[in-house]
Amino acid sequence: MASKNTGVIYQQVIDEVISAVQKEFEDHGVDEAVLHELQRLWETKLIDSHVADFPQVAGEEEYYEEAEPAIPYDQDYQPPPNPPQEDVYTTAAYTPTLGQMLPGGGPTVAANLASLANSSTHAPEEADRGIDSNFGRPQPYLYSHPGGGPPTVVNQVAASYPPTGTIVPGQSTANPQNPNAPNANPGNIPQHDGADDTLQSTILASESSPMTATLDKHALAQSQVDGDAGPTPAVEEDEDAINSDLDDSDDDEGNNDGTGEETEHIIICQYDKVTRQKNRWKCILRDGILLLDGKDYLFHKATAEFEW
Amino acid sequence: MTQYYELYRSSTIGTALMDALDELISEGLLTPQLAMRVLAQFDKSISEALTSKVKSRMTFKGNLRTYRLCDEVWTFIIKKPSFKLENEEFTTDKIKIVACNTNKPGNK
Repeated sequence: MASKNTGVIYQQVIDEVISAVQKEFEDHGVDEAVLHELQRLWETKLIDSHVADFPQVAGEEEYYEEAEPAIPYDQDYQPPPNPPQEDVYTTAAYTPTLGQMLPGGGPTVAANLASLANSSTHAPEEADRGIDSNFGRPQPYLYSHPGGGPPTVVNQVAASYPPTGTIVPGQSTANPQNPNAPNANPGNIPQHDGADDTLQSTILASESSPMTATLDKHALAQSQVDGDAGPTPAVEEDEDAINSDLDDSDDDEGNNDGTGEETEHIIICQYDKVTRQKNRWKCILRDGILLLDGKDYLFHKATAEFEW
Repeated sequence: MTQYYELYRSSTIGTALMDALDELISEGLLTPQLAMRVLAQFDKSISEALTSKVKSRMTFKGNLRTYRLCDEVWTFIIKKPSFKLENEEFTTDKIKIVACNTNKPGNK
């Protein structure tokens, strides 16, 4: 019942938003068909989420097709099959940001978008914009190519060092000192792991002051061996490291939420007052949306009592 | 223009709108600027609808597991909450509450 009410309110909100931005769309020179498409997508996604009973939307047959499967879902006697779908939908939906395309719209949506794009007179411009926006995503990957460039340069520079040759005597002078300290060899081995980093840093150092300690050149000469052994894997590792770092940090954030506090049941609301006496909390909340068992419930005011 | 909270964007109706906008943007049919205007309008419409059109009152209880107040936003994790909304009652194992201060919009 509350869920039914939710659907009515949601429909009113959708209608209000769509009519309120109509002028804005006109001012931006955006075809009215786009606005209708926005409303249709919005309603379709909301109906597919099965969070509420929606009043039958008049007009296009598509609404019937979309709404009819929603009716059995709306019977509260079948919550088990629904919430999992809802979970997938919401968790997937929370992550994307603007500009990212979701494949979840379904074939009909895609077909409509395609026909809409084709039927529009501004198709070429829109296509260009579409390409721009699509290419906005892979930019990080493109950046990785410039990032991947320097290592090859580094390898070339490193390769140019041995002809100077004088380093090798430098090594020989350095080595007699080092063999006494067996730590030097263990110290060299880790360079395999961080070959690129030490390469870049030492080369930067050597470029800025070519006469710096022979130890730098020594390190360079040794790292050449690493570079010869597998320069391309090293570069790939570098790229992967950059990408995976970004991905990991995102994933970690998501995981932290997921393991710690994330639940499919959530209340989004505002608070009037939050008070505590010892371990008893009282909250006066208002204007809230409660998502519970895959259903949305709305409340104007709520009082809550918790024990900590 | 009065400032409205953006927190309702993470609700089901909000994410449905953002997904729809995302699709239109990636199709090149909509500019991100216009999409932001739509979202701002959504912030306003959903806030006003909850204030003026929704009448139902709810009470609930539970065990407070986690509480946090950061930047005027309360976050609660409630274990075993039981809700009473109109004539319905329901319970669940855990629920998260995110609440912004009522007094902020309009006053600032």
